Amino acid sequence: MNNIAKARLYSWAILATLMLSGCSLDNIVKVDKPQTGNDIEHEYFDTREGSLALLYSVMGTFQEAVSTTSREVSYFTDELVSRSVNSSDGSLGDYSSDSRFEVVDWRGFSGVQLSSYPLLHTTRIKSSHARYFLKRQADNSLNYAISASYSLEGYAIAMLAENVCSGVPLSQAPYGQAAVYGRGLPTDSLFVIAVAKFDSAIAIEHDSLRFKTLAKIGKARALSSLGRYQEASDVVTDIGENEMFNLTYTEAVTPVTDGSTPQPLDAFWSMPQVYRFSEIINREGNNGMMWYSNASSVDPRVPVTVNQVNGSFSFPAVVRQTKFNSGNVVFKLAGWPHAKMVEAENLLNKADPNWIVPINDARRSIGLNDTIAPSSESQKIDLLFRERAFWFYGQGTRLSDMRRLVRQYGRAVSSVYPIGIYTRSREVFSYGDATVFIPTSAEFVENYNYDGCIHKNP
Amino acid sequence: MKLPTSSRFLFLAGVVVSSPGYLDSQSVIPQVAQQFIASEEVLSDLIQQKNRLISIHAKDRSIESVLREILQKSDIRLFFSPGNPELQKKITISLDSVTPLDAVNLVLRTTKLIVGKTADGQGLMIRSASDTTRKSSAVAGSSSIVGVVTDSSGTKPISGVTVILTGRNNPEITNEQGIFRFDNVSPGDRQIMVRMLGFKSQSINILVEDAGVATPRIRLSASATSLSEVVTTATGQQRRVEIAHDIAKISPEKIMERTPVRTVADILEAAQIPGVLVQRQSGDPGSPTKIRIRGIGSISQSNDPVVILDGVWIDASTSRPSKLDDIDPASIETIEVIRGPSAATLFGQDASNGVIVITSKKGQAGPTRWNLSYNRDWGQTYGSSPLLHKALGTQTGIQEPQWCPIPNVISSLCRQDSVISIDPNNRLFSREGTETNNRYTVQVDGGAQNVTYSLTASTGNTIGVRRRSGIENIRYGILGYVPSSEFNSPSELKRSSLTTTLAINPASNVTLGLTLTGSQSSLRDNNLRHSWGLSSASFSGGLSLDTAFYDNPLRMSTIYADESPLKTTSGIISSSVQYRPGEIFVINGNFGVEKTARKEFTFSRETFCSLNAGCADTTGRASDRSEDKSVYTLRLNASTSLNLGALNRFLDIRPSVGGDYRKTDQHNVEIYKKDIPVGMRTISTGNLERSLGAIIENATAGWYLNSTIGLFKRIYFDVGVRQDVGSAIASSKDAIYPKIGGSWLVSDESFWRQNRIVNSFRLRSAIGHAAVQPDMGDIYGKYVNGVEFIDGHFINTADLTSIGNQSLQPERAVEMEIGFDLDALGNRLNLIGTYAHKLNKNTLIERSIPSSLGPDYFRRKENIARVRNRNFELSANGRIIERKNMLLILNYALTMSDNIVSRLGNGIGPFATLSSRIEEGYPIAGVWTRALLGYRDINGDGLIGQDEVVLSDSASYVGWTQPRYRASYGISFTLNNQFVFDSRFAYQSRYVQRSNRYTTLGSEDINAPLDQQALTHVFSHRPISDLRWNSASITYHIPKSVLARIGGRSMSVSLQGNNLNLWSNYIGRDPGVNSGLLAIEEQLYDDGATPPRPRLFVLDFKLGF
Repeated sequence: MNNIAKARLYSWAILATLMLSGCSLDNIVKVDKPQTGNDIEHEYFDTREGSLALLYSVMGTFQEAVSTTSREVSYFTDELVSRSVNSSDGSLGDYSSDSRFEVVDWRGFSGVQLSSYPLLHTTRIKSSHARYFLKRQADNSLNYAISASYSLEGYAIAMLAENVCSGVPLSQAPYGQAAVYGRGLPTDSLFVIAVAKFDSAIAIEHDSLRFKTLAKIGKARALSSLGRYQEASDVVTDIGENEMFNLTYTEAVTPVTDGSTPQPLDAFWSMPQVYRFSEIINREGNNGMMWYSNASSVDPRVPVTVNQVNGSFSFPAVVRQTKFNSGNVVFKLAGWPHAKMVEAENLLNKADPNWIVPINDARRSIGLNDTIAPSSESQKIDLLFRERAFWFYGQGTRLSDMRRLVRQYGRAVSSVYPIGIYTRSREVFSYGDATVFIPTSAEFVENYNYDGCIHKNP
Repeated sequence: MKLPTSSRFLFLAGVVVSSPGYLDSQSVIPQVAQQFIASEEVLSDLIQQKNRLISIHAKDRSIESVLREILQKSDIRLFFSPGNPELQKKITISLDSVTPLDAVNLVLRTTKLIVGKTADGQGLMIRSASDTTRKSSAVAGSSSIVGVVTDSSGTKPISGVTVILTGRNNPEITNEQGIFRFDNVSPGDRQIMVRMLGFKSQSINILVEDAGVATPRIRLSASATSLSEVVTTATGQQRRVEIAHDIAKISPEKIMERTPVRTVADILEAAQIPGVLVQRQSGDPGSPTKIRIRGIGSISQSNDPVVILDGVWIDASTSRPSKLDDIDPASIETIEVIRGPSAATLFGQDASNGVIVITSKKGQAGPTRWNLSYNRDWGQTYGSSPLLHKALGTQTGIQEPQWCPIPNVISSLCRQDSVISIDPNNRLFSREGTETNNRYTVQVDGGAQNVTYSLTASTGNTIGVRRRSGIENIRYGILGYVPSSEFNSPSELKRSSLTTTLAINPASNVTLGLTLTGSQSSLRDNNLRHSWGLSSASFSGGLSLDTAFYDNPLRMSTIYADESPLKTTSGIISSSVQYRPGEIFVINGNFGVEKTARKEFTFSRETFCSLNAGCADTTGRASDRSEDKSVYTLRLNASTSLNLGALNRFLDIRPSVGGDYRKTDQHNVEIYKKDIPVGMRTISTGNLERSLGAIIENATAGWYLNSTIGLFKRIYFDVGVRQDVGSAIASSKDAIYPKIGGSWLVSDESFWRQNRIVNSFRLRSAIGHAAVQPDMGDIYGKYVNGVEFIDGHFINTADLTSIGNQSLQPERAVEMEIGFDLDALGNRLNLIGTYAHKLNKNTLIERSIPSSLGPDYFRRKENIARVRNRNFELSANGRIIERKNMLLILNYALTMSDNIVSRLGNGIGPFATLSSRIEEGYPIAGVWTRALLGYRDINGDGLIGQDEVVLSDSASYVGWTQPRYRASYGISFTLNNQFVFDSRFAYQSRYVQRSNRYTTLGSEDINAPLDQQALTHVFSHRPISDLRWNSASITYHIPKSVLARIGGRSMSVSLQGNNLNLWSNYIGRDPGVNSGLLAIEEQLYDDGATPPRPRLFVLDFKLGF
């Protein structure tokens, strides 16, 4: 074989090799560390420490979401309102996002956007990523963490259902896979999905009571919203008085990499306590709670301070909540009082005369006197939801309860939500007729599968 | 013309049997001669039969003896006439693995003899072609023309020459021996035209006798036609005429003779290539340039072209100092700019923005040659700045002196007392000094027949124009502050490089190449970088040293002293091998590594000064950032020419197959320290503030098939397809990129009337696809370190910050170009015109995600846009005067380009950025702003506040940041081959630049006219046209007669000027400076923060010996 023939042979060999390698070129270009400038290498997630770091991130995001939700829900549901006092000390002023359920045209989307909406969704997405790596560790000691990831995802979905108009999409972005933009789901469907997440959490065997409590209370919360009171009560019957899942009340911090001290970023406490803009007002919009009568009759579940404002104008005393008096105060996201309220609601719906017992059990645990069960069904419901409002003050449940009063107990919107007029900065405004939040504008703009709220009914 | 009879009919008498057993010459001549004429094409058969390869090495031996050696080494039968004077010539020849016929032909190359076939077809005989034809004519009985085309020396036959016989439609093409023939030719005076690209065409009159054979021997002399030039393609070297797209080829050495050049970017700018835009970032030394070829197509990805140095992929991303500019211009032989996807398809991934192929100088065999050069620059910025104004006043309530501009007066924050004005052009306030540059270059090359070498070393340093102003010096004197040496020094760039190339031919068919390039640059910025604007725009920006000086020169102040030396070391190793197992088969391979290490150390300290307490330093901050990057390249290519037998006369097929692989490893580490004690300046002290690290690793690979198909040596098709994969994008049908192009040398067609005006004319068209890959980070989600307060403790977390997009596809560019090349007026005029239409499909846009996937900052990229670029390019080069002692050359280049976002995704609205937006129907680098519709002093206070101007509701389109029209003009005049005058101008128009140079009076002085006050509420964008006098030079070449006395080979002295003047309607210093580095090409030039390009004068001295 001469050189030319050899050359031809070589060329065809090269050609054949390249053609064959066309199938396997993907292998040639695989790299060990397909990094793109991330601080964290993906291999880290495939360790016990890394997978837990993912879960902690979920918890942090959820804390931030819940605290923001709580604040907003409180602003709009009489737990905490903004009242501008035009005083000489200048410390009181408007809170610019106080929309008070007015009819707001927000970039063409009628309604008030829930700012924690993306955070609740981020909690879902991150939960799935954390769970993906936690499961890959095949370590039974991480079962509690896997359970927690389901519970936190369930809570996020339930809170979206509780606070946002019907039609929330649950877009998906599984780890390493393409994102799928979701279509809007009815509120009840969201609760059903949340229940399924909690079921998954409960089904995992582990020995952490606090995480078990988290799953059970979460499931009961979703079931109650579905009107499945007996099932809800059954879930929480074995929760002991000391069982509790605490949540640090909003602690968003700057990245640890810069070595600076973490700082509270946004918290329910910050507006009244730091910026001193907001206060509690009794009977907000006629239908609001009577949070206090006077300084001596403050309910320990909603502690307040009462201050007289000195200024050019005569104003009533300014009342500020003190339940959340720092950036990292702990609150009970899920625990025994929640269980008691679920039991009471179930008994009430069964017309069981002992429905008041769980309520008084809970009251007694913090030194409150027993309350007397009213006679009328309407008053019983009022009492139950008043108790819930005081127990869960500032924890983002009030709007859901208001919706349930309309949806599940047949109350008129006008008897539950603030109505009439209110004064701010010496100007008079009218309360709007919105009963729920809407998603943030990015959902309307960016999600081509999203068609807006199915409805905005409670 | 008619050939003289004596030359038309020569007869060779003797063909003698050289050894027993061979034919007797007297008896065979008639038969042999007849067969000889009739069987030229059969010779190839003989080659096939006698394909035993032989090697011949002879030194100063007679041709006859060499022929005898050929006879001994082969089994052919060869007849020749011993003792023939032609055969007694001495030759030196070295042949390896050639056919006996080739050997005979090569041995006879310097003679008037040719070789033909014997009558029996089994042997070869040597004789004169003219004798043969003469003899045959008597036998054949019909008229023919059989001719030979050679080069101007008459020794080298030229194949592929188009020979046209007037009156016949089908031209003939000369064969490998340079022979052509026409049979059945009517007797009489006939005319033939001979054309070959790269040679001057000839028209010859021949007398053809009845039943005779005319045997013209035609010598072609070379001409400087552009189409015959050899250029680089992905598959190797090709003649320009064979490829369907335009490639600009630059000789840096020629440019450096007339223009001050420090960098590759300087060369590209000076070359004034149509379709190539070189944008400066600033006038600082080491400032990188953005090179854009045929516009910008990507919104979020790089628009940088691919750069290949001696076959190795070079990371030329924009950074400071520029990596591209680390390549020493003196070490470069050629730069080829391959424009557009239609040309760049086979170069692989990311080539859709064009390719810049740089080839290092190779040594020439022979005695060692030395070239020394030294140049020194002096430069100063030019153009004047308007007066700057500063309002001083007292704060409401506490009567504290403070800066008190109009907005503060309106807000009742202060009461204005006075307005001071300064002239920033005044030496006292100006921060601009003289730029100086020194550069030394040594080059040496030489070698033997089989080994050549070249070495280029250069070193230089540039002192930037930034200086501390005189007013600051005075102030420091008052405060008793003694600045450190770093604080005193202007910015400076030191750059040294060494390039070595080695070419080895271990065998006649193997060439090995090795290029080693090393460079080191040291860039020092200092606090002046941060305070550049103090005496201009930021003069009105707050309580700075300057304003404090005017306010109260004795006031305590803070001095921020910063330094940030950046050292870059890079090395490139490029190795190549070319193996030619046969004349028609070539295998090329390249392997190379580019390694870069960058280290940047920054240190800053605050110094508090007061008259009473003097100056005291505080703790400092420092950062240490390092980047280590390696890019590995492997390229393989095999090309051949198909042997199609007789079809090869009009059909030429050259297929190629190849592939490449590229891998990038990058490690970044950043450490930030604070609380560095007074007196310390190292990163090893202080407390850790933060640290960051990143590893970037990716790889790409691809392979291609390509074929050039030539028809009749004047029509060429270029067809190819490439498939790419990458770490980010797996193989798929979407990553297959085809191309096809055609080139038609119209002027070689028989219908083209030969004339003196047009020498060659070619039409070409090509269409091709290429792509830019998304980054891996765009595909996979990103996580960063975080911390959360969980269960009463701070716990490290991994925070998701981007969900990525696993559906991303490469940005795909489809380009169609059509153009022409024309050489006219005796090749003294060269015109090249091209229209290119480029469509970027699947353009990546970063957009917000739905909130149901996370917060707004979880942005992700999507393939949702289409961007169209259109370019028309025209270049004209004319040798207007071409005489023995005088040469006048004019150049002209024109580019017209536009850009438009032709489509966004359905239902997707415009994307707004800082001052630009992405909107259907508008360019991607367009400038948008709210217009000032009117103003009225509503409250009658004589001041115009924000609420007293009426702006348009939304931003409206102002213009494009890229010039729509660009033209360049050049003139070069050479006198007596000694004096060379050269000058270049560049014109740009219809582009928009933002200027911060509006008067500050309207924002400061409460007595300023209302219209000036109103104007301060809007940005100042305006369409710009400018004409820049780019360069001028005068060079004197020392006569060779003088040089001979001192043993020199060449010597020249040149005085050059660069960026000599700018005529523009721009309100500011230099609209060509673009400080923006954003991917979407926003030009956010700030006159106050960025120095313009200086005007340079250069003394250049070159010596060769």
